[in-house]
Amino acid sequence: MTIQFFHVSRQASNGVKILDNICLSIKTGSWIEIKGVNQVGKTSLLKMIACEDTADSGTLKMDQQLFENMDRKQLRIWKSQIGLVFQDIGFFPDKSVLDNLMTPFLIQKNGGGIFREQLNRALERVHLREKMYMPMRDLSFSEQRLVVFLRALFPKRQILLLDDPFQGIEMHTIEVLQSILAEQHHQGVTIVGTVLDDTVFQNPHVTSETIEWFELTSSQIQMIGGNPT
Amino acid sequence: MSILGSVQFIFKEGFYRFRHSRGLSWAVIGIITASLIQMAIVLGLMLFLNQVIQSAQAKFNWTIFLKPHTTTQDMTQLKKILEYYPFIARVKLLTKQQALKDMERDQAIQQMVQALGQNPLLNSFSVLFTPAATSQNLKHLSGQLQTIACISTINYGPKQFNLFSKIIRWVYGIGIVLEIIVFFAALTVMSNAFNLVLQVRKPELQLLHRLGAPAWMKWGPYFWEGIIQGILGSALVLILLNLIQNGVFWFSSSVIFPTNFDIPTFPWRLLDMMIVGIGCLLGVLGIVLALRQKWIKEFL
Repeated sequence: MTIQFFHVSRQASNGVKILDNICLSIKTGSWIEIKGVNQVGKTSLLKMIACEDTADSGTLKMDQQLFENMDRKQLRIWKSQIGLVFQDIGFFPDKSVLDNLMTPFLIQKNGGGIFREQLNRALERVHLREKMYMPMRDLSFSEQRLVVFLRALFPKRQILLLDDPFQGIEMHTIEVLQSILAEQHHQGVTIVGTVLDDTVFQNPHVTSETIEWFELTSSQIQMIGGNPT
Repeated sequence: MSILGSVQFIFKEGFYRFRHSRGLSWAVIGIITASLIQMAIVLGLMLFLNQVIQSAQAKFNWTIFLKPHTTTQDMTQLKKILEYYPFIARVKLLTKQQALKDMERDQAIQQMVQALGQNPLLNSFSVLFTPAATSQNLKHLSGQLQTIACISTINYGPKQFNLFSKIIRWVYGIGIVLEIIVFFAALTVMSNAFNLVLQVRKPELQLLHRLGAPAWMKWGPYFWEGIIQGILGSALVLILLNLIQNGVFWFSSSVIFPTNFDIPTFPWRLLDMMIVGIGCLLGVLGIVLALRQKWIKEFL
C-alpha cells in the first residue's frame, strides 16, 4: 500500500502556507520519521493521510486511488486500518483502560486472539496491567498517552501515524514502545511519525538503517537520513 | 464481530451511556413521564367514556311497542323469547290501559283522550338489561326483534341517551386531537433533550469516527438508550396508574357508583400496554429525530 503526495499544498485559514508543493512517496512497510520545529506542517501531513484534512492543491493517492474519490465506506475502512497517535486524539474518559483498548478490536470485528495476547504482554511491559479496569480519567497524563499509544498498536494495523507520540512518556517506557514499533515494522506495518528531534530514537531497537529521516522546513520536505531502499 | 456480538455491544454501550449521564438521562425520563401522564389522562378518559357509553346503553330501558291487534298469546310468546336472552334482566308488560292510567294525571292528555273517544296508546314491553349487555349484544337483539311481525317500533331509550352519546363522541374526537398534539409536543421536547445528550457526547462520536467505527456502532447505543428511557418513563407512569387504579376501585365501589357503572371492567391492561408502547415510541423517535442533525450526519 503506497501512499503518494503529488505537489500537495495547504494554507492555513490566516493565509500562511503550511505545506508548499510537497512530493513524497511512502512505500508499504517503510518507517518514515518527519523532523521539524513546531508549526511547520508535520501534523497536517499526517492528518491528510488519515483523511482528516484536505489539500488545497495537488493530489494524494493510496495504491493509485485518489483520496478525494473515496466514498464513505472506503474512507471508514481506510480509517480503521490506521493506528492514530495524535496530540488531539482523545479517549473515553469514563470507560476503563481495557474498554478503551478493546474499541479498535470491536471496530475491526476482531475478537482478540493473538493480538489480545500481544496487548496483554505490552500492558505488562509498560506496567499498566494492574490498572486495566480503572477508568481512564483516574490515570496520570503519561499513562493516558500510553493507553492511546497502545490502542493504536493493537490489533495490528496497516499504517501507524504517530504525531510526536513520545511526548509526556517516560524514557524507559519509550524504549518499550519503540521495541514494539520495531516488531510491528518487522511484520510489515508502515509507520509514519513526527518528532521535534531524533534524540528519542537513540536506542538499540531502532537504528538509522530502519528509519528514513525527513526534515520539514519552511513548508518543504527533504530526506536527511536513513536508507530509502 | 457476529450479529450477537453487535447486539451485545449496543446493549452494553446503551446501558453504559445511560448510567454515565444520569442527570440528562433522568431529565429525558422526566419528560417522557410527564408527557405520558398527560397522554394517559386523555387516553384513560377516552377509554372510560367508551366504557360508560357501553354501560349506559345497557342501563337505559328499551320500550318495545306492539301492533294494535297483537293477541295475548303473541305477547306471552314474545315475553318468553325476550326472557331467553341472558343479558336481559327484566321484561315487563305495560298494557295500553295501564299506560293510559299513568297518563291520566295529566289534564291535557285526559282531554285529548276524551276528544278521541278511545285509547290511542299501544301495548308495550319495558326491557331492562344486565351489566353484561354489550353494544354488540344489543345490536344483535335489535336486528332479531325487527323480524318479529307483532312488533311495531322499538324505542331504544330516552332522548337524553342520544344526546349523551353525541357529547361523548365529541369528547372522543377532541381526545384524539389532544393526544396527537401532546405526542408531537413531547416528541419535540424529547428530541431537543437528546440533542443536548448528543452535544455532550460529541467528543465520543468524533473519536469513534476517527477510529473508523461503522455507523451502527455510533447510533445503535443511542437507539437502545432511547428505548431504555422510554421503558423507564412508562414504568413510572404504570406505577402511578396502578395507584390511581386502586384508588378508583375503592372510590367508585364505595362512594360514587356503587351499582350503576362498571368501573371494574375498565381496560387498565389496554391502557398500560398503550402507555408502554407510546413511551418506547417516544424514546426511539426522539433519538431518531436528534440523530438527523447535520453535524451528527457527518460522523455517521
